[in-house]
Amino acid sequence: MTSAAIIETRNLSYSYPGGISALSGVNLDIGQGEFVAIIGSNGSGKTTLVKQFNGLLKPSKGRVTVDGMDTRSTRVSELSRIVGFVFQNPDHQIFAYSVWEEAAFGLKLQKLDAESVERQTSEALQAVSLNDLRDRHPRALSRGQRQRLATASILALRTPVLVLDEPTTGQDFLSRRQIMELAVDLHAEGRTVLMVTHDMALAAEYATRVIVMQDGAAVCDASPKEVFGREEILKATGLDLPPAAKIARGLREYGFSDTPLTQAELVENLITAIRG
Amino acid sequence: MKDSNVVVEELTFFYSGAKEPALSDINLTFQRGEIALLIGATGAGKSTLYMCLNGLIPHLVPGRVGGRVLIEGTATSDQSISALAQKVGFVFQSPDVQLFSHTVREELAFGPENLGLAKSEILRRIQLAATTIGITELLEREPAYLSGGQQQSVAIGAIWAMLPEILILDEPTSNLDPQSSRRVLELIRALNTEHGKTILIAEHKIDAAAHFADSVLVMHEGRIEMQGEPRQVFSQAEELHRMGLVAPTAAEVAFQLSKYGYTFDSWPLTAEEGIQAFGELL
Repeated sequence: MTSAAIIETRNLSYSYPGGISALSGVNLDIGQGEFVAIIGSNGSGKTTLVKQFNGLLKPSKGRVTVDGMDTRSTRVSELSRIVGFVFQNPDHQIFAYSVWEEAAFGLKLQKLDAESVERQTSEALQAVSLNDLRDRHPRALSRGQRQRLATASILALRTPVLVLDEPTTGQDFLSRRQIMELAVDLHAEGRTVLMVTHDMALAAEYATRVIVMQDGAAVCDASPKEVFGREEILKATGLDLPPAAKIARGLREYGFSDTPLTQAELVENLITAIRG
Repeated sequence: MKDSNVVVEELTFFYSGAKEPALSDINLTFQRGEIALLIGATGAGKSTLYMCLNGLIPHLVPGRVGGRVLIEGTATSDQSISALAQKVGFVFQSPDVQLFSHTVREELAFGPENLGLAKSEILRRIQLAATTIGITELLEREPAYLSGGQQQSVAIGAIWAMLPEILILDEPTSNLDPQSSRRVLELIRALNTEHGKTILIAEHKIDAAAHFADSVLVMHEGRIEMQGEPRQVFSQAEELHRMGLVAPTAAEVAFQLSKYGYTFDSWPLTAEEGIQAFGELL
């Protein structure tokens, strides 16, 4: 699945105005078709990092290229055809007067014909179960629904790369599953998905690669199995094991040797072990 | 004799123009010093219930109310919003919705100033809130530049300065990393155990919050569908799934194992309890 890098960072450093350093010396290759989780404590640089990928922020030092384009010399409108960005707080993104207008806005900017705008917008709203509310004012939606609307307006653009900043924050279990199933489908279609999250279970269950940020640096970059196997990294960065992995680790003293990451894996491993 | 400071009787609420009730037949009692966990899917009626407890309903939100809510023995309809604000504190999900001052000190002063308290009392409240919440070193800082966990602590402190007997927290950890989430939940528990405050907390992070409540309330389509001790509620995983909810991981794993005929004397809720319960099967 993974092929050439669609996003590259080389010695990427970034300081916010006033000189506060937020990223230092980050080197990453994100391959086309990867499903990457970016984890780390509040203030570790996760969101600052992904904001470099659509040109919202530009490197203070070093370089970021997206589909071969240097973000410093490329317009945001150009980059946003490649990288769709769903914000953590939907209210920073939503401004239109109806659900449909909000979801269609980006497509209209791209000057697509009316038929394609209608089709892509409806499909995106359907994907997040908001098509029935298309005439509703966004402010009349619940926080969870607004988050899904923000996702739909980016989905409609059909960008090859999708950045989801804390996609499941404030979502109940069903919406969380729905959003993640959507991300899985998009990934299966060959799109690259980058997800910033505090939810370790989410990273363990869905990502093929996990990047751990700490103090503006990528301190660990490996498969979920490997990252969640390195307790010293988790401890040093203030992160947790996914709940199922935590239970499995505690079971070692009972002779349990499997290393499941998800609840389903834990149940399966336990049944085999108990019967064995 | 029981000392209940929140009593909800036969509460029903229709938003203005709505055909379906947002709340129906809610009956609840919180004992002074009780900590209750509220769970429910989006749209279950949690926010409407909060508004009934702090008096926004019936005072500000248009609609039709049936039944009544008693706060410290008096119906909310017979108390002003400002009187209720001193009894029921509400902490928002995102602290950035609540915080607006230039310094943490001003943020903590805002509530007491609005109560028209004397300057010396305002200063005492700021000191008290900062000490209790553990944010004295942040008093001169600008809230916008604090970490998410610190901002949430300041938001709780600003409510604490009003000295409410009842605190409602709407998903207070939803924007926080695992470590900050743990700290905020520990803080909330300390406010409960050390200061005897009655606390109602809504959380989606069920693994972190399940074990520390005295009781769990499950809302679904405007009704309280389940109510009881955490272990009793979370041992009914199938019921929860039907309402689009889940139990903590250990309880969910126990539920899956029970389908294979394994039984548990005490239904596990935390990782530690899960380790012990599953370890005994190995």
